[in-house]
Amino acid sequence: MEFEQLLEYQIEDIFQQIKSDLSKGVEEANSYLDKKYNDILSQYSDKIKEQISKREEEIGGEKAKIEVENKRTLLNEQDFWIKKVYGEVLKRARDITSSSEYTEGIRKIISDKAKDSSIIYCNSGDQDLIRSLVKSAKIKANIQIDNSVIGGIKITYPDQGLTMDYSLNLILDQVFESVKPKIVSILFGED
Amino acid sequence: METTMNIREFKNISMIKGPLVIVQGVNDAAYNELVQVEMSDGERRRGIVVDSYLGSSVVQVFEGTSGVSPTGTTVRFLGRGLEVKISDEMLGRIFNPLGDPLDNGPPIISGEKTDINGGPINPSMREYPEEFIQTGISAIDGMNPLLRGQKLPIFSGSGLPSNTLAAQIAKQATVIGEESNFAVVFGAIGVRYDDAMFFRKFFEETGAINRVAMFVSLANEPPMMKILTPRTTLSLAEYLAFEKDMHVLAILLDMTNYCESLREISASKEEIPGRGGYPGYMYTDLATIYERAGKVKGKKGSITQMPILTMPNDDMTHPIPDLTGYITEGQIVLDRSLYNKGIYPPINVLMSLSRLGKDGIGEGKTRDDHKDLQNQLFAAYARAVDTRGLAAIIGEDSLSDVDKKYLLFGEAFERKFVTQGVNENRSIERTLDIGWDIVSILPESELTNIKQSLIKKYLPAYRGKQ
Repeated sequence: MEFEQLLEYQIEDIFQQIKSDLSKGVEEANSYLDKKYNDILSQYSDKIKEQISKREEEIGGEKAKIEVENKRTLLNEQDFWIKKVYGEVLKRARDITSSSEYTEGIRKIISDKAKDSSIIYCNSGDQDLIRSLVKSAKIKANIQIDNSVIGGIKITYPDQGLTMDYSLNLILDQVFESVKPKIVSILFGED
Repeated sequence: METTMNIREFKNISMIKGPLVIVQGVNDAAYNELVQVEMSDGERRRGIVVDSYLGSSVVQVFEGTSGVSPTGTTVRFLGRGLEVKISDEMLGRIFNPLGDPLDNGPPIISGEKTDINGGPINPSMREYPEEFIQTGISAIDGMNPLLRGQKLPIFSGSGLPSNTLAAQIAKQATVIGEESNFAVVFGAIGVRYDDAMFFRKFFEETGAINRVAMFVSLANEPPMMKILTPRTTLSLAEYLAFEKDMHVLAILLDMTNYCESLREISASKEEIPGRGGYPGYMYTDLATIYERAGKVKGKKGSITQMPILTMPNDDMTHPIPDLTGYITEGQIVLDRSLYNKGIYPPINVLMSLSRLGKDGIGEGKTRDDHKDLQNQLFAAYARAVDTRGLAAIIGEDSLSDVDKKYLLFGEAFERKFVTQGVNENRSIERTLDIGWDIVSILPESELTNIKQSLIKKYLPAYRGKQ
């Protein structure tokens, strides 16, 4: 009996040892599996995130390109209509030259700036006015036609090689440039 | 509305010398007055008065004097300085330094005409930079942080990827919490055509184009155009920052081309050269550009500058990087040996420095561990580099175990922390986490620059155990 008890005891002992070894083995295998699983999960999660962010960037890029293209098209269209307005203003510039303020302005320029032997360039429509103003200012200036000047005058001093620009072209350009934002808001509304 | 009737035309050109035209009979030309040169075939070019005498005036023609003849050419003095129309319409578009569009779009419609030379900021109105800008690049954000209002140049070398780095920063940079109010103005000075195309394509494809305004002067353009590029760029930056309350990052690339153009123009004016043949006033000239950055009291916006220059022969004592270093608040240095190892971006953190960085990091700004971790990474990397030298002499096997860890750390620092993809945008948290991952290679006893509380909080061995 003692021998059988001893045998049972030994068998039980070995059984527990095997059980313990097996459970350690299972634990290690589980831990290895977990680690591998986490590694693969992390690796593929990163890949998925990378793909998502790449696609997001591509979509963002396309969106930005379209926005910029739209902006450019819109600005081109605005520029077209602004140029049209400028063209119409140019056509009506001759209306200014029939005013008394215009005549007074030209008279002042001629009396202050024109000298004997200077050359005055003007539009053909203003030729008679300029001639009369030069005569009344008693200046011996040469008057020449330059139809690129829509109004006003240019004065050349041949001895100095200098030309002073007092044309309507210059004033119109500068005024138009400064009121462009106002024209844009009238034509296209406020932003 | 201001108009000028002081437009004078002259036809007496007495000499044409390189890009300079000498006009006789001019008694009242103002210095830096804008000039229009009309040739006999009707072609018009622009220029500026660079010297004014009684009886004559020297005009520098922006587009060069090729084809200009002393007879039949009219020189028109416009009675005003060089002004460019500046507007927030410029965002998403590309211009030359004179404000002419280069992207097939129309000229700027609304906006203000601005003297591109700007003016110095009142020193008593300056605010100290304290807000962090996230560039998405670990070697900058983690080790040499950029703050809003700072000027931090990148010192590059010939062939190093400064273009790619600049484009990546322009695309990724943001002020955390104020992403919608952030803009980038990009001044490409004397760049090659393919470089200009690279930037345009990069911004378009990555979606950054919407918030970037580009001013481009190509390498084959006259030097005067290159001189004007940073000035126009910064004029737009000032408008967006101080009129439109935006946070603006101004990137100027390449300042070496700017200085070379300055030298060329100085030589053509027969000025006495200074160090290296560069004009004696180059320091002042660079300062007038670099000082157009900062934060101003009472204004919500700011200008942060990142000028990029190429050091000739990788020589930091060359006048250009040398003088730049006196003016700016630190530097980011690109290293050829790192580049040769295949590391991008090849930023040498040991030679780089952000003088103001310490005031923009830490709790409430980036993270509470940022300062300590930065110090530890720097110290450990410095020791790793020293250990490499030692290993080269005595052999790696003769090193102590700790020294071997430092070698591993050095390798990991370069390959995991510094190295990142061109399209990889790392948050500051990610940067700091990577820093902790590599610092954990070292024994805990070596982490003498970090408080124990932070080690217990962030070191990977302790994560999740609190």
